Amino acid sequence: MRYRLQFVLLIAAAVVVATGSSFRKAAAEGSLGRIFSHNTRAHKTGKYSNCSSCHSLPTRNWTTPRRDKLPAFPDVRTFPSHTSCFGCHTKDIYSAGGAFCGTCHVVPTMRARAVLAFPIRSHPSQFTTLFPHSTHQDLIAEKRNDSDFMAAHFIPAAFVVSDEKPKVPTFYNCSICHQNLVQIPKNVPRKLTLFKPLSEPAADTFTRPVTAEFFKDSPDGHESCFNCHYQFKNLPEEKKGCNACHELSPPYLEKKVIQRYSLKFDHQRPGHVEKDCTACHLRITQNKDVRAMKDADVPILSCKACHATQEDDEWKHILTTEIEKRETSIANKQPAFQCTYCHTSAIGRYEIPPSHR
Amino acid sequence: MQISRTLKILTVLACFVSMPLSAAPQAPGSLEVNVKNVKIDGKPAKLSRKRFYLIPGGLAENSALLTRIKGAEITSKNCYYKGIQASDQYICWLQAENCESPFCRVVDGHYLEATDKLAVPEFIAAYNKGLPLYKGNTTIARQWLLTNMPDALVNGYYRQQQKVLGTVLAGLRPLQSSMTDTAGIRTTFLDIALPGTAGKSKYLVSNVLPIEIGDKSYVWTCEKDVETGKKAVLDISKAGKNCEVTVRDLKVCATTPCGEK
Repeated sequence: MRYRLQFVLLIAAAVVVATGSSFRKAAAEGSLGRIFSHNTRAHKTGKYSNCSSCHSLPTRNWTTPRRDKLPAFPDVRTFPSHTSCFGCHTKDIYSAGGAFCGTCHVVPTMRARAVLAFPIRSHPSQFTTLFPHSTHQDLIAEKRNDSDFMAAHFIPAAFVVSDEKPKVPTFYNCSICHQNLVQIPKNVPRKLTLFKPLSEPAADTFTRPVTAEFFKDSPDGHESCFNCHYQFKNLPEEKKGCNACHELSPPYLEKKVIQRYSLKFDHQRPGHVEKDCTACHLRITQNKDVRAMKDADVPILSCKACHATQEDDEWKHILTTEIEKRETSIANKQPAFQCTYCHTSAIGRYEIPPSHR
Repeated sequence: MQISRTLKILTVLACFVSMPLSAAPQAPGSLEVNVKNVKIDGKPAKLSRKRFYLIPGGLAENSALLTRIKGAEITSKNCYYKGIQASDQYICWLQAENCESPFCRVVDGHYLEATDKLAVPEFIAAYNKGLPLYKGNTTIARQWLLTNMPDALVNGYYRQQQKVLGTVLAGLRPLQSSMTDTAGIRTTFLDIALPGTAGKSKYLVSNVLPIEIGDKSYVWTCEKDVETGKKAVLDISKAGKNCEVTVRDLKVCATTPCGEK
């Protein structure tokens, strides 16, 4: 009996190992092409633990036009040179018709010349980004001009130096990295796991049509970081390298989808636009690691400050009004009222969280 | 034999299931720190973007911290920059908008014009250092000025502040820290997990790092009870028995009078 159990476990373990290795192989050589892994012992130990043993900053091609259409700036724009690979992989180049070359080259042969666009966007990311909002909040403007904050979110070049003497100084603030979007991004309601829906989805109505300006961008490359940190400047001594911002992680595919509880929230709306970002993003000055950010970082407490007051204007007590409507509908055994001022039906039909009351 | 083993397993599982669960965690509390009405010498003191720390215990429990706050060695912003031989123009550039470092605001073009009366030698040097690095690209040389300036001018003051902070805290780990908003109205500590089952606990709120206002420095250290599931409000302008305000004279380091602003 015991031997049979051991045999079954052994077979199961073998299946797991085989499946895992074939998955890795498929990922490495399958439809995505060969994927270089930074996370192998050989690629992350010894001299290779230093990123600059393979990558140079900037690469020689930095002046060429960029895929993202930004003005060219010194950046890592292509793969490491052959010398980085050939030290250990000479044999691989001469086997399988040079399939190994397909890791970086368009054509996987020994005669390959053109390289793939770098970085390869279809490949999973192998690094997460480290960013301490708290330290950056300590350093950016102590004081800023209100009109500047309202009207002048920085243009994509980030730190702009004007030739003309400006009437008001441009203070560095959140808009260095977070600007209004110019195109509506893919957006979905967040998934509610702790609450139950009380009614069926309903058609959404919008008093203000959703525009790109409802949403803010986040850095997607080196451009805003390099304004202060090019070649690892202005970093703590122990962080003067790529590891200041990049940490190895299990491969993952980046989702360029904005998830929100309140799809109807408009950052640019009067009443919102003139506010300091930290007036609502209450946790942001505390955040030491961007990966630890909780949801959108806007607790309902921020909304209550203006939308759950005793004042007469409807929108100033809309939160309490909608809660009352929900409770009345349930008490009258009618279909549960769906909250619509901030939420689409995907969220507004769910139970009201205790935090809202 | 097998049945008895199964029974044993079931008994162990049953014990786990019937074990009394530890008390359910209490709803966290929150604390709003209101700084809007603070006045110094009768004038409103805008405490904008100032970091406050949340520390467990009240004034009595944290008397050692208070002693360290009162005894901390403070170097004013002007004295720091004077001490590292920053140019008068650089100090004036910082003073013009009450900046602590060049991370504060954009360096406008005229500060890089050697002929302009406001020209800052440190910015010009950084610009000239950058030009060859960026293949003569003037835009990048200007945008990335901060990467070509000496560390002491860019990060030194912040590092010094952090050193003071470390000395004053002396290993004490605040539960949270949060900055006041730009308007200088408030800051809020959220999700304060109260210890035990008391439902109420005393906390200390302090900026720890002295805030320079005029030729004095100020540290507010106030205690406040936080209750589970509720928002407590602490108005530091109403400093009574629950608050200690540490006011110290700052060493004056004379700087050249600045022409603009």
